[in-house]
Amino acid sequence: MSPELLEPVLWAIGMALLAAVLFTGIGLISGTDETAIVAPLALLVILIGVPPAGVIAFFLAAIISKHISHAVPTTLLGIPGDTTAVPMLREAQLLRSLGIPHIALQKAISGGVVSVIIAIPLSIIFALVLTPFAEAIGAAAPWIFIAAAVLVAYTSKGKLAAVAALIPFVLLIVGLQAFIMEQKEATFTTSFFLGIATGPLIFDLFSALSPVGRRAMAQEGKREFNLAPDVRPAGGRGLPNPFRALDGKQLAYTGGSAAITSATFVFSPVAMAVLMGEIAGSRIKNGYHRLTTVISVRNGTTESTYIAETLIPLIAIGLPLSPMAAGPAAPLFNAPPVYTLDAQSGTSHNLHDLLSTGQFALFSIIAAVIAIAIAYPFVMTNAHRAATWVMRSVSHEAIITGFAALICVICLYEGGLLALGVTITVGLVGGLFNRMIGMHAGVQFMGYYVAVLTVPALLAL
Amino acid sequence: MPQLIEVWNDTVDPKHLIGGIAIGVGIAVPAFLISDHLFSSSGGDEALSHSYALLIGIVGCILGAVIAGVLFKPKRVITTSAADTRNRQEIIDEIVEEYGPLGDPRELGPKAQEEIRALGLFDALVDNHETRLREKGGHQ
Repeated sequence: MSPELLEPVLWAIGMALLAAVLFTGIGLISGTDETAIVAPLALLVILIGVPPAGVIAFFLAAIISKHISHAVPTTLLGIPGDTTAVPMLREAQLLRSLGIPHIALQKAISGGVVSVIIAIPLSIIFALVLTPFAEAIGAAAPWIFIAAAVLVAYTSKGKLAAVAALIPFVLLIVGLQAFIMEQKEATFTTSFFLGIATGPLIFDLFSALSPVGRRAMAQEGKREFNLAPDVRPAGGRGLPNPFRALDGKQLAYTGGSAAITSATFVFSPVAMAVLMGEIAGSRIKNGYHRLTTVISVRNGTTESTYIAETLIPLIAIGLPLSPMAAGPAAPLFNAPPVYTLDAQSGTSHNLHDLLSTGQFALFSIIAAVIAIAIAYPFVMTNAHRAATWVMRSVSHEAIITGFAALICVICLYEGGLLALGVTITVGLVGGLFNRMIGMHAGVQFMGYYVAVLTVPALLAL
Repeated sequence: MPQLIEVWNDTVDPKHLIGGIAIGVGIAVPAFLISDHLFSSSGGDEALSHSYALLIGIVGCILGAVIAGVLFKPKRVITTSAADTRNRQEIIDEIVEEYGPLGDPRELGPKAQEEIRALGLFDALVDNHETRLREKGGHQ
């Protein structure tokens, strides 16, 4: 290996290790949404100056390991580990009532591992196919973003309301940006992202502060969680091979779904997980076999969509043109002052420009190998103990404390009290739209890009 | 018992929440501001010293979260259900009611059959399948 490559490889290995350990743990905590957790932490890694090799390895190892360990609360507690775990909840609960939660877990995480192995090479190939069209796509970006925003809004829970709500949301961002420009002669990015990503938390904190809101949030005593019994056969025979935990048909369906969803990078990961599960399920007659296959396909799809939606826009285009790239992966495209995206000229200085396709491939493989090597055996052997420990020892107050402090520090870093004000404003409005009209963070991220790309292009007409 | 509320999808005690946020922000923000001031006044690369201050601020966030975690315990009740003691057929019937028949395991490939046998579900699923077939026959 050439000495110039040695340092980036060491960075990739180190950051992938860090992310795999951290996110295997975070995945165990139910309700830790990818956008709210992965995006701020990826941003942090970029801002403190980790080189590109470390950033991409950190990000990929984070999502791969989180989408393995998020199956633990989903299968053992019956509460989704995060947004993408929701589609496999039903199968998980049925297998749990059949008394075999460990099979649900094993099928889900083995499906995830198989999908990662298929999605990484295929995403890179699809990116190469798309690269010749990158310039045309870049030129049309302002119009693609508004079309994408409308489409993503319409397919969200809010339907037409979310589409209409894009207007006030975009205007809010345009207005804030103009005021920031006037005051500081600069633009903010991070504080907008943070506000959108943590919107539901900010909205809930406001609501908890208001006597009216508090009444609506009241809970009758502590919430009960029912942990499935630990029914793994005693005296485990070592680690099961993920390829052996699935039978031939399951491997075929999981692999096929991973291959298809590596190409469909513009669609929402949750929607694809639901769809792929339905397609596989409709083709399997036996009920038991359908349950175990669908859960494996659905968890596999959460891995393949996340990998493809990150790698394809990064390698081929350099613009965040997928729901995933505009959401959890947003900092990889735009995190000033380190990575920038110039709205007017359409030029970028981000991972797309800093890494070659070969380097993307190398660091992705490093990240995948490390994430799987850490998350898979850990979940296989410790799922029950870890789930119990998290539920009994990690208080929700502590998690909110960490996030509230993180929001303050990152905002002060970007632009002092004005940036903090921006995050609170965007977070409160975004959180309200999210909770009340079903306009999720992905739609809002698209709205941000409409404000910075499409609006100037419209005005220039 | 204090009134508990649901914030960000889980249960918290509002007093503990305010206490936690005060501790977290109270540690992390001064840590960031003071180190930012110290680093930038000591000269050197401005962007770099700004980043180091951020790193110290993050350490403050983690420290605050850990202190809050030690002070405030989770508001959850964890019950571990013993394995369902009811008759296996009743449980399977309930699942079939919701999901549809679980099918005949004998029609599956050898690998899937082996898995179901190892789980001790094989005979129960066969019985359930045959009972269902008989009932269907009876109705016709």
